[in-house]
Amino acid sequence: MLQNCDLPGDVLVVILLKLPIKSLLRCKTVCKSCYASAETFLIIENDKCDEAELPFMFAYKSSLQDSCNGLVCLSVNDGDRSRIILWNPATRKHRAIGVPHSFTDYLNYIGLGFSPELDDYKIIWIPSSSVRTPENYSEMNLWVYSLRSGSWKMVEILPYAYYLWPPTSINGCMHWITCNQSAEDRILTIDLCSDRLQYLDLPFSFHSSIDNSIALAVINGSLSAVISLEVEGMSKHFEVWVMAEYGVKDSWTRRFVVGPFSYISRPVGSWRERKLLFIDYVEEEDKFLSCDIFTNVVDFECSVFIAFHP
Amino acid sequence: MVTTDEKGPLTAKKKSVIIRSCDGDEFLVSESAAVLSTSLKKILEEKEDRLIHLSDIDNKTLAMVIAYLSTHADDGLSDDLKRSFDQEFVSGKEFDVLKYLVLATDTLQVTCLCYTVAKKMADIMKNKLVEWVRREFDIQNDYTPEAEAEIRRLDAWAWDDRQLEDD
Repeated sequence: MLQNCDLPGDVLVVILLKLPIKSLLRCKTVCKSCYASAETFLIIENDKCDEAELPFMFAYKSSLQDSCNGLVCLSVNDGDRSRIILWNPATRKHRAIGVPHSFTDYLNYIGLGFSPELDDYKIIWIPSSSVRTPENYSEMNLWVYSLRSGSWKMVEILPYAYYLWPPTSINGCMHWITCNQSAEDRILTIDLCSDRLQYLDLPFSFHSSIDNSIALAVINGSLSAVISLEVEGMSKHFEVWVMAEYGVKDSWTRRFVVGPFSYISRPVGSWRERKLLFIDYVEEEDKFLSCDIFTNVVDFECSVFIAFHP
Repeated sequence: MVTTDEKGPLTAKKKSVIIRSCDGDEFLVSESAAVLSTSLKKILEEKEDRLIHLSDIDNKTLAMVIAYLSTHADDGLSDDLKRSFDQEFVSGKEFDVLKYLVLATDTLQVTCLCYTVAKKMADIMKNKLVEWVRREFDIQNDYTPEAEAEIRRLDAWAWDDRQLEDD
């Protein structure tokens, strides 16, 4: 055997990255270079979440905004110090990001997405107005923050609209259903690589309302829309439309019908490629429900603890 | 010690290559096995000579890597069999042996084996004391006691739950 076996730093990193999260955190105290290796990837790369505990105090007017690859994006508005917080529950690390101006208004639309081309996370922020003047209520600025560059950029001025929570990311683009009282609902898409904006049409003319709810989803890797059908008595069903060819309106196909859920239920999105999430009022409690599109069986439900974004 | 994976005298036939360890032992390896190592593949593409001298890998470690490469180059074995060979390969090996293996697989760029060995090492390391890790990897503690305590405090939850081992 050789007498000396000094492992080069990059081999040690390969070993460290195979450790469970608690062991890795302990290894930060081995030496400074272990600390640096662990920190580099603790912020963004981990799928080892066992429990989630908020590492910071939730302030007044905090909202859960979006999530991406296990990273959670929250907004905190406590007076002058409005900020966005990126939080990795698996590593309990968080990072506060200041915004160009404070959340002066009630309406703030925030999305978190990842661009594989740039290997960068981006935050999209659409505040309803920057300054409270009558003119500004007719338009909204769209800001983009790059985690790599650590800076904000104002990308576009949009006409005033509502954006349904939460946004959906697929194909390196973020998608929001936008509702404008005078026009049909559309899908706003933001390319996370080029920051370019584009609108996509829904399968048919649609106006969301209390009774007619809609959400975007990702089913088997395709952008999909979950759209409520007419209320029958105290319940309603939802149709799942899949955009077979991305960006082509004619490729929208009605693929599934799920339900019944109560007449006040509304869709939120999807997870695990084939399960839809709904918020419903069950046994006098607000609940998240997960429904498998193929079997139409509710396979998971839990109480809603955190007030979510309107 | 001379080891071959084919019968016959130790001469490099077509489609074979001789690999020599740092302590002088020679191994006859089929080319299809050798090229599973990205480094060996590059060397073979560049030179005519079928003898490769590895100046930093000892004979025991090299024998293990070659056994791995030969098994994975065998088209007669199913992927399932190869997977169970991988698990068998690292099980029961001393941490020291794994260290030389991971180093050799890094040098030879045998990525799959490097990851398998690293995973096995992580499994052994996961419940060990920090002092154990420093000793095994011969790492100097470059923190002040205060700085070390501070880092520990920040991740207190990672320290509270189990008895850590030192052997």
